[in-house]
Amino acid sequence: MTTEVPTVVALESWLRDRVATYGEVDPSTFTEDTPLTELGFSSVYALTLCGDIEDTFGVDVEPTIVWDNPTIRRLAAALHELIAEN
Amino acid sequence: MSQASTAQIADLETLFGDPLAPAGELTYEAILAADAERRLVEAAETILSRWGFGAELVPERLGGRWRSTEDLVRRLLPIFRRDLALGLGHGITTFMAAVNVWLGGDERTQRDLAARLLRGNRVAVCFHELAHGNDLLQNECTATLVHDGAVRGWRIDGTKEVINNIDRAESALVFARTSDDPGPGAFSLLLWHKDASLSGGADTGRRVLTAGVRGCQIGVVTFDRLVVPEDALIGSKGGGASIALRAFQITRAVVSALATGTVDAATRLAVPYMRGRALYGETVWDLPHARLLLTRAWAALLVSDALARTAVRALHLRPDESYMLSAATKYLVPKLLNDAMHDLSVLFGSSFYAVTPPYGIVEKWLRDLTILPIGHAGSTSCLLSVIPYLPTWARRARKPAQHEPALFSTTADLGELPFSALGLGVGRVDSVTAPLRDETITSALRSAHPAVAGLVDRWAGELATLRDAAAALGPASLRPDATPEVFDLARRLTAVMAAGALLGTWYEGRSHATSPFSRTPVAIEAALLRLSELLGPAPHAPGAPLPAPSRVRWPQDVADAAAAHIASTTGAGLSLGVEEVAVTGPSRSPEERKS
Repeated sequence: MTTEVPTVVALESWLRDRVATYGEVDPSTFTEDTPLTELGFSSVYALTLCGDIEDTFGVDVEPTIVWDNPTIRRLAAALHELIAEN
Repeated sequence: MSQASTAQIADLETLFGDPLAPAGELTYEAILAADAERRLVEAAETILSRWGFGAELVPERLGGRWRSTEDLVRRLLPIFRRDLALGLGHGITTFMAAVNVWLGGDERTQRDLAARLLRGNRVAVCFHELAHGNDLLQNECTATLVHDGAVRGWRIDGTKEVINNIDRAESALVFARTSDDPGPGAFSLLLWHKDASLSGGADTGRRVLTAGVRGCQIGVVTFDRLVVPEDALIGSKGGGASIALRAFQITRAVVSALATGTVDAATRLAVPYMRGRALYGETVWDLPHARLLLTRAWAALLVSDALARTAVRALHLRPDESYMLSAATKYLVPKLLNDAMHDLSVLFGSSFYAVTPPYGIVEKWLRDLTILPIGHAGSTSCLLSVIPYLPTWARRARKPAQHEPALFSTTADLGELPFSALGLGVGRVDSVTAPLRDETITSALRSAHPAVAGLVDRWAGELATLRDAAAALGPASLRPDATPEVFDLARRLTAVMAAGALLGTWYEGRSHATSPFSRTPVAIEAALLRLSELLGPAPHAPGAPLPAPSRVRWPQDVADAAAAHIASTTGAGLSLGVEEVAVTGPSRSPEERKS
């Protein structure tokens, strides 16, 4: 758990790694702007991601953050804001 | 009751009276007669309207009587002790709709709905499309924002099926697709007041005939270019799934807790039956096998009630943990209650199958309770709600969780329900299993009940095993196409949560006057034995011979002590479950009544 706010770039990189792991997809095949649903990112992964975010960054997030921010770029920005607020 | 104000509300037990009385408005005979004609008992609906059923569903903040959800359950239980169909049909389906508005509606919408409910209006829940079962996100019914001159509104197209009260309800809550995007953000909730349609219409006249709850007026709605006002939208566009998933937490817990009332009544009705019926030269009561069937039913009721009440209290006390707990409850409680009804049906035998007065009601209860594992939150969909959370739950359940006495106590002052605190996550810790990890509680139980000390250890071990197995699951294994092994882990988790709830409820109730755990030592032993029937075989060393399947052996002295307790509680005019409180019958057979 970290108290420092990670940069948006660091969050994007962390999210890329998570998304690639969950969907078992090659990270070179998608960008920060690829809609997550195109990566087989189902509502199940959204829940798993929330758990990982909570454990890694110590903030409570709802799966709706993923529904409302359906790309890695938007999700990283939203997450950055949320962590900064805490 | 935790609130002084609830003391002024008349007890439905008194208003309904003895269901075995020779005459009365809500006797078993009246209920059966109405059921045969596929209607609810009209007089009972009148009693409920006058009593202010609608006010029960409205939070105190909005002028209603709903403060503590456990008190709400207590006040409505007398309905479910007599007629589950009346409870749903009068009924609880309006509650299922209303909670979505209390969760997601704006102040004006909430005030308007509160006023309607206080007037006695009903709201139907239009979620279900038969082609998609509980798979809400595949729903096809659509809502499109349309402009017609100055008029703006949502045009609803499509069909919703198996909808309770759709024809007679004044309003309906519709779950509709408002975007073509895939995923959960494509759905919205619309509250359609039939007196406020802008144009078009809907056919609500087709009735669906069901196997159980025959008195419920269940139907189909086919929307025909119905346009509802723009402000019919509850919450934000695209927020429908998020609101509905929060609302389910409340209804899954409450419906499970209410359904225990039916099994409570059936178990008590077995006493006069067993005492009065002669078989093999004795009464049924004298047969050890019959007393064991009765005991198993009661024990399943105790486990169910402990879990369901804990889930109800968690809505107030641990709302962040309610998502998994309420899904686990709505999986396990209906299963245990239906198993209990099966045991009782064997006991009642030909008397229930031939619908012989006054025990014919058991046949209806058996049919009615089969709706529970289907409904809006079917058993499989409840397990599917649990499965994606398994690895996160495993991490949370490793963190120490303080035993929270109020979570397991029938005397807790719960306050108003903190709607906005209900989430879609796992919570920070796992409070329901805390009693299994609390040395004070487990050793108190071991020393007070050495006969079941081994079972306490088994459940503590099961929790640890499950945590390891769940932690090892990858996200790809958690989708709806999960393997039977993953489904089995979810099932085992529901049982571990029940074990935690049972231990906590025993600990908090063991010196409380209305608790069965203070009134007889056999209550916790029977409940633990029944729950432990759900355990797999004990772990064994590799290479050792396979252990025998984990068949729980019921000592006859446990069954005898349990049967004696059931009989004395019934005879004293008290309910069965985690609270033994005054009820009006059934306690005496017609033969006893004559003497």
